Amino acid sequence: MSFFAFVISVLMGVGSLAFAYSGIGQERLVYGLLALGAFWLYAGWRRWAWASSGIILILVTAAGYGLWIELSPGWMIAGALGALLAWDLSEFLRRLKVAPKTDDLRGMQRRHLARLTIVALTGLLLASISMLVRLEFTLEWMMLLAVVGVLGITQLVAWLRRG
Amino acid sequence: MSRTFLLILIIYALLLAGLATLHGEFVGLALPFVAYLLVGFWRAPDEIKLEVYRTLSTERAVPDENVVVTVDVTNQGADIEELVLEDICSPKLTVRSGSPRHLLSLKKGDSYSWTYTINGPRGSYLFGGIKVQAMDYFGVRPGRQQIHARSELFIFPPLTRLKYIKIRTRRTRVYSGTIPARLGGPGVEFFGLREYQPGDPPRWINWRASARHSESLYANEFQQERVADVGIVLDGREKTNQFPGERSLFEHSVLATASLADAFLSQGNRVSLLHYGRYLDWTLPAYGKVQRERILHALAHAQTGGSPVFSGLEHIPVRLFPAHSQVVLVSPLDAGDMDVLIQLRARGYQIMVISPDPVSFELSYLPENSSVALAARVVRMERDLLIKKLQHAGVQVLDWNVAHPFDQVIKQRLGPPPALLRAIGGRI
Repeated sequence: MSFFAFVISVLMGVGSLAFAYSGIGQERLVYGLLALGAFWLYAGWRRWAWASSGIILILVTAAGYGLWIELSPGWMIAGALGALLAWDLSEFLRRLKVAPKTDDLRGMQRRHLARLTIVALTGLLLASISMLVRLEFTLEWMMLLAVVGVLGITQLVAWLRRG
Repeated sequence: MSRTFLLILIIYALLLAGLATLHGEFVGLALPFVAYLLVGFWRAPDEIKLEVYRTLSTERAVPDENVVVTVDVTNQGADIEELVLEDICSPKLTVRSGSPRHLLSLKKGDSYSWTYTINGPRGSYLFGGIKVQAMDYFGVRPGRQQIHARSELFIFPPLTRLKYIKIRTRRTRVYSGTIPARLGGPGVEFFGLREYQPGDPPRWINWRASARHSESLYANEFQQERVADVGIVLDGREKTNQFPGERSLFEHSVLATASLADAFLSQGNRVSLLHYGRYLDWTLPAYGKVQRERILHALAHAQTGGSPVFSGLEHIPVRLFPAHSQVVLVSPLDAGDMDVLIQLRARGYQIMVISPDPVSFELSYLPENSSVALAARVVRMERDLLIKKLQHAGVQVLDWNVAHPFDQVIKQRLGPPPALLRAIGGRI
């Protein structure tokens, strides 16, 4: 069940980005993304969770680059969201792999997928709203984001040092 | 890279990209990641409060005997969505059924219990604790802990019960036992004649001798039987025990040592054990069942080892063994050991060598061909010569082909003579 969801997520993430990039004739990038997706599927089948961290960074970077060159934001969000879901599921599959079959794995998978779906839909909704509203990046917005960013980074550093 | 760090890195990278390019879409792209991270943090367990108990079906087992491990976990803290529990047991132990690792959800106040079955080779195995990993919905902020739950499993060498081992030391202890003490007194075996003394049982009177000497009566005297000091030396040197392909005679030596110690203690003797290998492991001499436990514990830990200091037997601390006591060496023997054994014999110790035969052991797995047969013949002759020299020096040597059960070999060579021979006063 979870592996099927993982496959769907990888296809969604890689497929969305590849489709968007194929529209502007970036053939090499499309092939690269498809190869990356194939490798991710293979890594997921082999339960290589370590591969996911690198791949999600590449796919999010590809989505960000797509936004910058003004590709369709919908495909980019779908790509990043698919990458997030696949990244989560690859780790979840790794945890399931070490559990014995006698545990309630079906119940855990069902609950995990339900929560993941809710979070994904919420994220998608928020992202879609933000795209639709298309807030202008005024100086005030920029200042606010900079302050929030600085505070967040300070908190992050403090948290990491405590850890 | 931790999952949290990766998520925060992506979120900040997108926010900074938005700031740098003045594109609001980057912030929108970061929102699913923010939602994911916040939900993870929201449901992360603050504190892991678990009570863990582990019980073993037995704490003393023999090799390959199944031991059932039961682990009970109770959650005294908040609900934990995903809990990975792993009972840490030695990699030398084999899990026969069940699993030491489980993945589950545990609500507050709930308990979970599981069992698994293990077995393994001889040794002492410490179960340190239970490794716990508690996670939120998405494993963003896992809490790890190791909960202390100490148990110890001893896998002792299998004991072969030996009925009787005939030894004869020059010095015995004061308590009565089974070893002839070379002293007259109450006993079974005839020892000599002495003048009848008031209080002697009338059936002790030797009428034949008394008839020859009309002036007084003579009584039979019997040999006292007492307990003795027995020091067992287990040879754990790598060079005598290890063979190519991880094969080892040491397990046979350990089995023999355990059986001998059990037999000597059952006869009432005071027994000590010296494990001579990488270092010296000395079990102080004592009597009885408690001493048997001590020796079995020492044998459970015993391993072969190599050391330049203890490569020969010349560093056996002889002072540990009382003068004129019985010393039993359990060793496959090396050509260099002969001098040490002869010196020990010259000091007045009764030496018995139980020697698992390395030649027949090695032949049992080597291919049958003329080269192997010739080599076997040569080393067999060398070994026979060594044994003969030792026997000539007064060392009692039992050459044990480990393909034969130890108890049968002992019964044939060191046990009491058969009833028929005893009846006619014969000796083996």
